[in-house]
Amino acid sequence: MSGILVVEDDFDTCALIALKLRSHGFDVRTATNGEEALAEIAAARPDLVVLDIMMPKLGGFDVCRRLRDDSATADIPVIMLTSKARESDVEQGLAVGADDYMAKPFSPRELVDRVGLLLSRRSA
Amino acid sequence: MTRGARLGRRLRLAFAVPIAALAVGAIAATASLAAVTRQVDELHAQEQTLDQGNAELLQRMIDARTALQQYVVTGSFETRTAYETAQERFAAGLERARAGSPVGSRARALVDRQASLAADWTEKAGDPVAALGTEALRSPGLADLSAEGERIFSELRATNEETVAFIDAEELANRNAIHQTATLLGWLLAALTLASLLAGVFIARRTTNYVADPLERIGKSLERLALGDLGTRIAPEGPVEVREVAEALNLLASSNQTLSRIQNERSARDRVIGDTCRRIRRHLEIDPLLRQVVEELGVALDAERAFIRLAEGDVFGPIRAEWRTPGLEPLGLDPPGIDPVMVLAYLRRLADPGAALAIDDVTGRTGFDERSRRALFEMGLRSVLVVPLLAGPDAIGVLVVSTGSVHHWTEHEKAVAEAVARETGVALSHAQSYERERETVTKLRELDQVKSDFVSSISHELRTPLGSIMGYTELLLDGDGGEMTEPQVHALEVVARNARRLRILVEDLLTLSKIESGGFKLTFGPVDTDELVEGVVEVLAPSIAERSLVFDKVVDTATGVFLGDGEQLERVLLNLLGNAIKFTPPGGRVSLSATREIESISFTVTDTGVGIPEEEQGRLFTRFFRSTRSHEAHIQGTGLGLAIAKGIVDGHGGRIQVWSRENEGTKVTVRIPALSATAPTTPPRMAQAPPDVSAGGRPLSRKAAS
Repeated sequence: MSGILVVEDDFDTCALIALKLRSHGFDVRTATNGEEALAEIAAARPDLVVLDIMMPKLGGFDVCRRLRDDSATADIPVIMLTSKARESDVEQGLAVGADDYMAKPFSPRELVDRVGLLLSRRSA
Repeated sequence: MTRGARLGRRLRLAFAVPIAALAVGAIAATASLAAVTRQVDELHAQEQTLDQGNAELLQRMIDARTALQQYVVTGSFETRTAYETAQERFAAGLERARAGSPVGSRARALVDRQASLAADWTEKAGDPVAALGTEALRSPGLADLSAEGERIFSELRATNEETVAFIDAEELANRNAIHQTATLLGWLLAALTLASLLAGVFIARRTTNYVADPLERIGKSLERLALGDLGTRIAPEGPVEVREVAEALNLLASSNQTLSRIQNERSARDRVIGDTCRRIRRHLEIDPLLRQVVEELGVALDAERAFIRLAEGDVFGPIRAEWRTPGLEPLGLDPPGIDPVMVLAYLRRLADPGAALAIDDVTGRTGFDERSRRALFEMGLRSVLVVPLLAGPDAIGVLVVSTGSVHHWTEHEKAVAEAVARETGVALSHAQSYERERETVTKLRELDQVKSDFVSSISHELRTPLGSIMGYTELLLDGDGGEMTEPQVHALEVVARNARRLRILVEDLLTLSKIESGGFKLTFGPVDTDELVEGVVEVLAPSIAERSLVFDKVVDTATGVFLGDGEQLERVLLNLLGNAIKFTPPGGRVSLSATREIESISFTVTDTGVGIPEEEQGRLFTRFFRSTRSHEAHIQGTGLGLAIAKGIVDGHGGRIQVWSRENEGTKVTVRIPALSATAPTTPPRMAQAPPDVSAGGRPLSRKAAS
């Protein structure tokens, strides 16, 4: 069972993603900000991270950059949750090493599809 | 020639003297001639009488002698009578001769001698012989008598001849005298004429010089005056009239010089004012404007200080701008003694509200109170010129120019100050309006920014809860929350549909707010027209089918690939075709065509729908505008689609045009400049998109959008 870390400061959104992923058989942990996320990753390496950008304390870009800078976490797939209208977010997200992004508001079904896609690509 | 003789008198004299001389000469000559002639005539008549008388005397004596001789011979009575008759006639002749010779003259003496000789003859010869008659022939004394008679007779005859000679001599003498007189008179007349002529010429010449020379000098002076030598004056000389002319001309020249000086001063002043005003007008901001004014005016009037206070509501503010000559201390913001309210109250009492108040010496009578005057004096303001700055009838400030010593403010200086103040008033109110306007614009921009930020942030804030709603709805519909009943599913579908509408609205609002704030960026790349149209049709085909519409798609083969933001153009066409479908009743016809034009690609969407009322067509691209027809037909929409479409087309440097007629249909054409996709250039009016996004971001974003 793949372990997925969902980093999202909005509680309802976070719970939604967790609920959806769990219902599809993923092992989901959650974090509500960047620092928490890094602590969770350090505690147990996830197979994939769903990462929100706008978060208190440490934002999604910084988290992603640190993951990529650390060789132990550099290869963890990251899906960023961004707002579609903000081209700069997409640009920056790709620049810091995100594997994919989804614009909010997003379809939970599609998120599950992408998570599955990325994991299967990684394991292949 | 005396000064001041009148020209008229001189001219009269010049003409009168020769004429009078000539007249007098002529009269004198005529009178002399008449007198001489009369005298000659008298003499002539006298001489003639004498001559006749003299001839008669001799004739009668001869007659008497002849008659006597005949009587002696014949003794006839007749001869005796003839003798007596001759004697009688002699007396008549004598009388006549006497009449022809004045008493005491030589002629009378000669006549008288003839008379005495005749008497002597008669007595000694005639009468004795007569008494004898024929006897005498025989008388022995006859011979003696005859001899005596003949002797006397000869003497008489000699005397008579002497008289004739005398008369002849006399007549010759007379003739000579007449001749001489006439000659003399002729000479006299000639001399007089010549003298008159000479006098005339002389007087005329003198008069001419007397008049002409000053006139000529006047002419030359006038010429110099005309050439601009305004200092030229004419020496008054010559006749009174000419002197009067010269004096009048001098007066004219003087006033002309004065006028010219005034004119020069005025034009110099106008130049100063003009230059100053031109420089003042350059300023649109209040403080630089006021600084310029005080400096310009201070320098122009050679003052020590110049400053301005502006009205702030009903009172005057501090000194807003001050100029002073180097070395002077500033007056400070609110110097005592210069109470602008009082100054203004004073100025308002003046008839002309824009007139300057000039105080040559503040220690004199000024209309200011003692305290103010002392304060002014102590500050070193001895002489002040105060001018209100007017905006229309309202005083919006006061301009003060001052010197440290007593100074007489001339009309010229006042005029300059007034003109500059007038201009300053105008420029100031312009600057104030400009500043207010700028403040308003800034405020409006800020407000607009606040609004855009608000819309943007509220949209963002809406997204998260909306995301949750949509996500959870989907979750439930997917059965992740367990099995659901049919009514539950239906209810959730309604929730999902409305959440989608809400999402579209939020996205549209965000897009529009970006377009309006200029933050909307297009991502340019190669766009295949066929693909673009096909994509649009693919999305909308179900709607077309649902409403049973006839759909025509026409893509010109020449359109090919062009440079643009494919995603956004797809959005535009989706919106336009979507509208066409929504507003066309079932069974109608819609079409989408793409055509290559000379310098553009045009996309045209037509329908046979309800159309747009003409009066609403102008507002089609206004945000939140919705046609009355959409309300009537209960067609949903946000009223943002066309506004966004226009923003996108504008961003491409293109145009969007609408033709519509109610109940007939609508045609919308979008023209996009056809930029070559193979040689990318900076698209018009758009910043070039970052290359990595246009290259790598697009496939991802399209995936995300689908």
